[in-house]
Amino acid sequence: MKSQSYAFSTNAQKALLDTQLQRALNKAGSGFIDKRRAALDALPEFEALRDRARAIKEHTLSHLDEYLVHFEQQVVANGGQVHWARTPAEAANLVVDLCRAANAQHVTKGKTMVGEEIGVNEALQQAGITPIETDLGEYIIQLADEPPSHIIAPAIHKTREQITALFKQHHARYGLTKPLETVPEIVNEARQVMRQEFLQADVGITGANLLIAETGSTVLVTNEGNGDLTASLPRVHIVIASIEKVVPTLEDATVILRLLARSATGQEITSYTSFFSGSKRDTDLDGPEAFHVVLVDNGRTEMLGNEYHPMLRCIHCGACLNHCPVYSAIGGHAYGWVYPGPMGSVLTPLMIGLQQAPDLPQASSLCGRCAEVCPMSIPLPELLRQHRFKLHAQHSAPLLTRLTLGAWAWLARRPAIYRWIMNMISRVLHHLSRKHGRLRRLPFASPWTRSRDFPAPQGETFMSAWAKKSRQEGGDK
Amino acid sequence: MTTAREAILASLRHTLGRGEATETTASTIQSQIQQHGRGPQPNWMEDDVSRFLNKLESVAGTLNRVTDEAEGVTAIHAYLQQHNLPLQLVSAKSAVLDKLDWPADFAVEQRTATGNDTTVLTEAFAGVAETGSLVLLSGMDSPTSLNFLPDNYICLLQRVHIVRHIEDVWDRIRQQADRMPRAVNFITGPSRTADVEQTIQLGAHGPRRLHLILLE
Repeated sequence: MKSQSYAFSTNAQKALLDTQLQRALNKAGSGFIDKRRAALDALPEFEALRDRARAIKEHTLSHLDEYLVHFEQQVVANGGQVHWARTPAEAANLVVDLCRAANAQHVTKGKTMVGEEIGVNEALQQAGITPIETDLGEYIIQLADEPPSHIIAPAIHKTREQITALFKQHHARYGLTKPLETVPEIVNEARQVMRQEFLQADVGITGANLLIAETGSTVLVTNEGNGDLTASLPRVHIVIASIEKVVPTLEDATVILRLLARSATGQEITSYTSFFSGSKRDTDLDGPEAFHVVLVDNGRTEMLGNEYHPMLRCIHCGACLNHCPVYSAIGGHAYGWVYPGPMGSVLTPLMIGLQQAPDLPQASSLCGRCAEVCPMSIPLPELLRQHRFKLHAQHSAPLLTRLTLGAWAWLARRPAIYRWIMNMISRVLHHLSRKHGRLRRLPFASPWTRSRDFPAPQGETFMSAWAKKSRQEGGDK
Repeated sequence: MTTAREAILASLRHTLGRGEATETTASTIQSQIQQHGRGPQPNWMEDDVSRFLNKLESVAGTLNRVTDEAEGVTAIHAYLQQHNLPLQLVSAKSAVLDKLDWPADFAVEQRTATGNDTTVLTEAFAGVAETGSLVLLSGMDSPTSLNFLPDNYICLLQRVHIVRHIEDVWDRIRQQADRMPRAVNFITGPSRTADVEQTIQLGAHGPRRLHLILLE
């Protein structure tokens, strides 16, 4: 997928003014947040699970080479094959080659974010194979020719009216004549058309939520059942997974699964949680004859050894997106690449380069909610700050920003002068606001005042008010 | 030319500060895998059977409790009539399923599912009290397509096969086989989606209905 991350500021502005998008985001509201809260309230063991999950991941990462080799041995023992890819291009080519070798005419696909990361759809299309997305949300955005805007709810930015229009436009060829009005009608239309695709597919491509070294299994978590139909009906099943997804045992996977669905949708477990271990056995009546796992690195071995290491614990639950005030205001597309929200603002610069996404680390108020809700205790604000340090050190921030920050840093280390200046600014702004409490215009701050008023200070700083109060209380004694 | 595999492993080993896997490190992961220790588990007050049934109903599953095979057949008959479904079943095989004595007007076939089958009958390997999940293993008697293709999913579960936690399923699988079957499916309610305006709709791509026959 071609990145638009360098244009974050412009795209965020556009998103704020996009009435359809704002309606869709409003509709989504606090649904995910409320459901997650209720699920956590019903599970007193959540914090203990969180600690354990973090320990499991850290243990696995410290032996990642060995667990990956063990995983590979077990996949082979189950009749499958493992393919390794350093780069997105390598991974996408592997998938294309596997589809060609299988002489695939029809390819179905379950939702895979790593698939988006390696651009597998584009690569397949260039090879003359059009994969059909089978997850309803992914199918909707495939019809719209858009990337997903959320890692677990890819079409969250679409209103029902927009979805209805897409079906009207694209499903006439399947004999759809009357417009779809209700949610059940839309879901049913997709179900009927997708049936044929499931049944005629030669190759099914899915992602994996986890890999299990002990058994060589790939774990797939879905609600629709599309992932299982994609994995089980075609002749060939290809799993695309990044290397950090591996955990040692079935028990370890269980710990993470207890956190995953609760953090994502507030469910205790999704409708379908499936463990795939290799190809069809001799005595099996169905299942794929060939089973392939494509393991993708794409910069992760490097992250293992640097300050972004904690990001490798991410289980892609989407909780940080759902709780981010910036994501909630602008949606996912403004972030410009595969992963949006706080986890995306950490990952995107690592995967496409900080210079390609210089605004993303700034797209956060560092309020800390993302770290608070992260089931894997990833210090997301801290990692965003690491990006900011780098940007500053590389002098890649605009000159004015650097000068202002430099001046502020100089001042902040000289408390007496700092207080005196803040006191002056406070008084001047208070006076300028003519005691209305708001400023409609402010020199050097037009980006702020263009779309909202600037709240004026009350005339004295916190420090001086505090000092005054202490003096009064001291006098009262 | 170095392969991607060698390059990735070499890079990992370099970062982790060691050469090729040594005896000691390899035994660290071996013992971790052999111990397969459990993490924290949810707890509850009610008995496991009630918990299982409550959880199953909370995710839009329905159920009948029956005391013997004959009652099971009657319950399935009533269920099909109640939903205006044809008296046709595609069935998995099992000691219990093979014993069911179907009325003459029932058409029951034991095979994999096609796109045209309306109703399926399977027997679950286990039921999990923790989540209300049914656990199905692929195998010569239990093709995976049965779990996902038809609109109506009827599943028989013997009460003795209800386990407390997910980990109890792993122990049972380890006891009976050296390897995992090709597919282990945890099924918790009918298929659902919330991809249109976050509105939950049952019957996305998998079964629209899930009905449990609990054999006491």
